[in-house]
Amino acid sequence: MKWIVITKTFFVSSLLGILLIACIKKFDAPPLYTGTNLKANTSIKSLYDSHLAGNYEKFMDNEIITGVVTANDANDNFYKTIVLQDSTAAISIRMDGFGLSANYPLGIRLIIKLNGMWMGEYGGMLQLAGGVDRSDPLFTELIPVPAALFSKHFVAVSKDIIPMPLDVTYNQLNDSLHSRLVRLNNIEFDIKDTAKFFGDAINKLTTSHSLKFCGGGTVYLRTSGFASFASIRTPKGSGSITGIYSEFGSQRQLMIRDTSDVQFNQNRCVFNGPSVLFFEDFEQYTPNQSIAIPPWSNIAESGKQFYQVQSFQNNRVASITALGTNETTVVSWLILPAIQLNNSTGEQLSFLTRDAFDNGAGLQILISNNYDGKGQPWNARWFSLNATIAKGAIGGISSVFTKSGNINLSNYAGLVHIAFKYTGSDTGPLASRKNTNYWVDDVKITAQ
Amino acid sequence: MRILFFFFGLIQTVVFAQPPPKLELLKSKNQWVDSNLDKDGWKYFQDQYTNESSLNEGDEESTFIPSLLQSGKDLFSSLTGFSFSIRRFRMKGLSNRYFSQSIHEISMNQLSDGNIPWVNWGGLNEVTSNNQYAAGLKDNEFQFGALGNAVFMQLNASKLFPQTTVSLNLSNRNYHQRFAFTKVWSENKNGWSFASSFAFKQGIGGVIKANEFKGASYFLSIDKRLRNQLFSLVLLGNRQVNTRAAAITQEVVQLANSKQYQPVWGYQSSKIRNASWQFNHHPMLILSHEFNLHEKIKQVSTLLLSSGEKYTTALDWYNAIDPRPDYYRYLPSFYSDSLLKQNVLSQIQLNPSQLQIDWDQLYWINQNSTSDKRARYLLEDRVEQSKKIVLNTRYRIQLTNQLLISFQGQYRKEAYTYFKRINDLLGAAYSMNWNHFAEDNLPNSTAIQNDLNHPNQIVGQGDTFGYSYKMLLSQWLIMSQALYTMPKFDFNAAIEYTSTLYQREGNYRNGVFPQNSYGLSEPNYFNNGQIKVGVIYKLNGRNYFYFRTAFSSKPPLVNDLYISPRISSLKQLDISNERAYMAEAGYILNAPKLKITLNGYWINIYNAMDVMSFYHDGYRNLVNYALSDIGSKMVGLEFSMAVSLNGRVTFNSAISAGKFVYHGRPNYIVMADNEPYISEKGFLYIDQFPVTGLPQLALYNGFTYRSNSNLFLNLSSSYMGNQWLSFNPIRRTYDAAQNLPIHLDVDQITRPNNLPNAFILDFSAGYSCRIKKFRDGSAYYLQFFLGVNNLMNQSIITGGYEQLRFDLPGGDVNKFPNKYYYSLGTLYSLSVKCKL
Repeated sequence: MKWIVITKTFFVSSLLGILLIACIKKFDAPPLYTGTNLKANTSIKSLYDSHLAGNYEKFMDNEIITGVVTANDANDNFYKTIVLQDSTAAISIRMDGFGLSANYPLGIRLIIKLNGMWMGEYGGMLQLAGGVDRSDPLFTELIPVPAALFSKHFVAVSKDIIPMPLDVTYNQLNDSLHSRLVRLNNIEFDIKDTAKFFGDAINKLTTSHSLKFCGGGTVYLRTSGFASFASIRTPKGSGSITGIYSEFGSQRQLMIRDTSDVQFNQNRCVFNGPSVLFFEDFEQYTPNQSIAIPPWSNIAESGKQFYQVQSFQNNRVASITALGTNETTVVSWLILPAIQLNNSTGEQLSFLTRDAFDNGAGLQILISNNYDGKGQPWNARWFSLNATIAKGAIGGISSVFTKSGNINLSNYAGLVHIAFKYTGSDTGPLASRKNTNYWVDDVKITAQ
Repeated sequence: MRILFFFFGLIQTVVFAQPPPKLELLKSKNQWVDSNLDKDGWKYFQDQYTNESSLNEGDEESTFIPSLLQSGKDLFSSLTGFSFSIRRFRMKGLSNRYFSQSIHEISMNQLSDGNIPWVNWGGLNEVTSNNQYAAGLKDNEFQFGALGNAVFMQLNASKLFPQTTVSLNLSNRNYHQRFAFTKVWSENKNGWSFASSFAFKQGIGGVIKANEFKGASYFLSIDKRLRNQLFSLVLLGNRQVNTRAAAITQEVVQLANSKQYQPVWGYQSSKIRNASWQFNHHPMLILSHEFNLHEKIKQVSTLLLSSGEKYTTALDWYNAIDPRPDYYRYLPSFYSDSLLKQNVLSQIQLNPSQLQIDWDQLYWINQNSTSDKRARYLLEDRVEQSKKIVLNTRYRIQLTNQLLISFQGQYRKEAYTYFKRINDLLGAAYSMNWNHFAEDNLPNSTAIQNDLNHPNQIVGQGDTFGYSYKMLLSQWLIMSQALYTMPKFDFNAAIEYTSTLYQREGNYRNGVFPQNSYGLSEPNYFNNGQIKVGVIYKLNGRNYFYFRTAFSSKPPLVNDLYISPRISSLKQLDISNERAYMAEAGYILNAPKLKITLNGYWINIYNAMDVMSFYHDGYRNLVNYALSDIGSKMVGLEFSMAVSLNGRVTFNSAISAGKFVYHGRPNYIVMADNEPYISEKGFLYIDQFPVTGLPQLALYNGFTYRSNSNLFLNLSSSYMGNQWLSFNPIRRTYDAAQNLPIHLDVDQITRPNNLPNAFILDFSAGYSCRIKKFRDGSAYYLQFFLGVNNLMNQSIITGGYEQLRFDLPGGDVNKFPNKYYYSLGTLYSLSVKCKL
C-alpha cells in the first residue's frame, strides 16, 4: 500500500518536474514595423521661410516634416547630427546621442514631430535642436535633442531611396542648398592639400582642405578628427565629390560621409585650357600682410598704402583703405599678372568687392596695353573698365559682396595688364576724408 | 539610537540571565511527530531562502555569502543567519574566502574567486543538512578550517535520516513553487544504502514583474559498507536559470514610483523579455572511501570530479545608443536646462515604457541600420566553464585517550574557461569578432581584432567572441592537527601548508596585446601556511572559556592577480600574499534553560588585492582598477542567548557589534582594456574607512512559542545599522582631490556613504500532524511551515554601491549617483511537507 503511494508520487513528481523545467522559451523576432498614420504637414523649405535670421524659434503648432536621412554619424564625421532632406530642402538635426546611425541609417524615411523642438542658426546654418542654452547671453547656442526625447519626436518609417545628389557648379552654390546633398564635378584638391590626411586623427581636430573647381572657385572640405577615415590621405586627381553643403560665415563648405563620396579618378585639371585664364581668391596668403604674390604688383603711388590680405569670417580677401595714413592723397595699385588674350576668345573678367565705412574713396578697374610691368603704372595708358563696385556701406561693413558683373574683354588683344586703383585721402575734417575700405575677392578671367 | 538598541540588548541579557523556570528546553516529545521534525524542518525551510538574495542580484556587488545556519549547532548563526541575510551580514566582517564549506572533506571554495558556489547544490535542502559546524578558529575533525567559519557537509546515504518526503513550497519570492521528492532508504542487510532527492522550482512574475525562475536539482547517493570500509558515491547537481535584478538609483525609483522598478527588461511584441539572466549547472561526482585501518586509525579518501557551466546574459552593443533605459543621459537629472529637464520628465511620465528596454526597437535597428544586417545589439552570455578534480586523504589517529592527531593531504586542479558567446543576434544576420572600443583609439590598425589568429571573424549565434581564455589553477595542501584533551583543559593546534600555481592560457591573440595575450602566461607560484592554536578551559559541564589565535597566509585570488585577464596576461605590479592575524576569546554557557555564547575577536589583514572592472563611458571602454596592499582590521563582539521562559516560550537574543575598518593606504592602478599602458596610479586615502557591504551592528531578538512539539510560533525583530555602501576607490585619490573645483570641500567626495538603519520583523510558524497510521507502525505525517519576512512591508535598502564612474572635473557625486538594491517588501513562504 505504502509502496504504491510512493511510486505514484514519484511518477507524478517526475512529470510535474518535466513540465516545470521545460526550456526557457526562445523569443521570436517581433513582426515588421507596419507604418504610421502620421503625415507631414509642412516642408523643410517652409521652415527656412519662416525663420527670422538670428532668431531662435520654438515649434508650437504640431508641425510635422518628413524626409530621408542623407547623412549621420556612421563614420563619426558628423557628430551628434543627422541630416534630413525632402524634395524642397534639407536641414541638420542636432541629437544628443552616439551611434545615431543605428537608429537613423542613411536612406531611412523619418518623420519628425517638431512640436517642442527649436530651430536656430549655427554659423549661419539653420538647424533643428532640442533647446536653446541662454546661460551666457552673449553666446546663446542650440542644445541637441535629448536622447530621452528621440521617441517623442522621431519616427523612422521605412527604407527609402537616398535622394540623388544635386549636381551644382561653383556659382550655383547658394544659401538654399544648405545641408543639401550635392555633387561638385570637375573639382580637385588644391595641390598643397593633396596626399594629406582627411582629418587630424592624432589631435582629434577638424581639418579644412581646399577643393578647387577646375573652372575656378574654392570650396572647403571639412573633416572631423574623429572620422573613421581621418587618417586616409586625400587623392591627387580630379573628379566629382558628393557631400553635405554648408556655409560657415561666408565660407562654402562640404562634408563627406565616407571616402567613397570622393571620386577623383581623372587627372588633375588642366589650367591652360580655354576655360579659366586666371583666378585668385587670396585664400592661400597670410592675413594682415601686404600682398606679395610674385607676378602681381602691389604699388603705392602716393600715400605709402599697400593692398593687404585680410581674413573675415574665414574668407581671405585683398583689402585697401586710406584710413589711418593721414595722407592727403592715397593712390594704390594692385596689378594682376600680365594676361595673354591672343590665344582665346570671349574673355570675361569678374570679381567681388565689398566696402566698409564708405565715404567716397574710389576703386577703379583699369586695363592697359602698354604697361611695361616695371612698377610705374602711372606712366602707362590705362582704360577704365565698366564694373559694379560695392558702395554705400556708410556705417559699417557691407553685409554682402558685390558682384562686378561679367566684364567683356574681347575688345582687347595681346598682352594686357589689369589693375585695381584706389584713390582716397585721410586728412582734413572728418567729413572731407575719403578713406573707404574696399575688399576685392575671387578675381577671375574666363574664356570660351 | 544605535546606542539605545545596544543597551536594550544588554538589559535584556541581564534580565533574562536569571535562573529560568524548571522546564526543559526543546526536549518535550510527542508520539505523533518524530523528534527533530520541527526543528530541522524549520531549518530546511529557512535554508532555502537564506542564500536567495545573493542569487539574483547583479554582478556589481561581490557575491554575498550568508553566514551559516546549516548546522543549527552554533547558536549565534542559527538565530541570525536568516534574519540578517537581508542586509548581507557576514560574520566578523570577513571576506568570502575566510568562510569555508566542504562536502565530504573537500572544500568547495574556488581557487579562482574564493567563493563557495552555493547554487551548485541549491534546492537540495532535504539532504544537505547533515552538517558539522566550526565557528571561528574552533577545532574541527576534518581540516584546518577558516577564520570566519567552516561547515562540513556529509552526503553519504548511510548517514542521512531514512525518510520519504514530498514537499511543496509556495512563496511570493523569486520562485513561487517548489516541489521536492526525497527518498532515503535505510541500510539493507548487504550493506547497501541509497538516497535520492529531486526538486523543481519555478516562478514567473511576482513582486518584480519580469522575474522568471526555473530550476531542477537532483541527488543520488549510494553507500556500500564492507566490514571496516565504507564506499560512497554521490552524484548531485542543480540546473537553474533565473533572472537577475540590478541596483537602481533614487532618481529612477522616483520616476518609476516604485522601489521594485527594474531596468533590465522590456516588452517584445507586448511580451515581457528580460535581458539579464543567469544559468548554472555544475554536476558533481564524489567518490569516497572510509577505511578503519585499525581501531585507532581511520583513513578517509575522497575524489571529487566536477564539470559545468555558468553564465550571465547581458546586452552588448556597438555604435548604437545605449539600450539601458536607466542610462544617466536619459534621465531628467542629466539636463541642466530646466525646460529640457521638464520635457524629459514629462516624456518619461507619459511613456513609462521608456523606462524599460525597447526590444522591438533593437530588432528594428539590427535589421535596418545596414543592408547586410550586421548586429548593433546582441545578447551575450558571459560564460565560465569549469572542470575540477580534487583528491583528498585524511588520517585520523587516536594515539592515546587524550591525544588525537590527524593528517590531511590534498591535491586540487581547477581549470576555468572564460569566454563570451552570442546568445541571440536579435534579428541581425551576423556580428564581427572585433573590439569596437579599440576602434576609437587606434583606428585602422589591427587593434580591433579580438583574435589576431583569426582576423575579421564573422560570428553568429552560439559562437565565441570577445575574449576567450583559461585559468589553470592547482594547489597542493598538507595539514596536520592535534587535539589534546585533559580534565579541565582542551588544547588544539593545527598547521597547514599550501603550494599554489596560477597560470593563464589565452585562446585569443588580442589585437591590443598581441605579445602577451595568446598561449600560456608566466606561471605564478605561491607558498603559504596557516597555523592556529587554541585552549578551552572547562570550568564544569556548562561553563566553558576559550582562547584561540591564528596566523594565516593565503595566495592572492587569481581574479585579483590579473588586471584584465579577458584580454591580456598583464598582472598587478605589486603581488603579495594575503596575511591575516586573528585572536578570539569567549565564553559558552550551556545550561538546560539558558544558553549563552559570547565571543570577542580581533583580526588584522594585510596585503590583500582586488581588481574591479566596469564600463566607463568617459573612456568608452572597460576600465580596470587594480588595488594592492589592502589592509583591514576587524574587532568585535558576538553574543547570543537562548533562554527558556517556561516550557513553551523561549526568548532568543543575538548581538554582533564590530568595528571593521581598512587601515593603511592601498596602491591603485587604472588600466583601460584597449590601451596597453597604465593611465593612473597612486595611493587610496582610505585609512580607517569602514569595511562596506554589511551591517557592523546587528541585533536580533525573538520569542518562540512551542506547544507539545507539533506547533511552534516565532516572532523576531532584527535591527541592522552601521552599514556603508561599497565605495568607489577613485574618489579617494590624490588626483580626485586635486581636480576638485575650488568651491567644493574634499570631504564631500571622500566621505563614506552610510545606509539607513533597518528594523524588520519576521514571523514564522510550524505545525505538524499525523494523517494516517499503518498497521506496520509506519505513518504519514504532514508538516506546515509558514514564514513571513519583513512583516511591516518595508522596502528597505539591502545594499548598493557608489558607481565606479566619477565626475572627476566637476566633483559632482550626484552625476553618477549611488545605486541601491531594495528588498521586496513582505515576503511569505508556505511549505507543506508530507512524510510518507
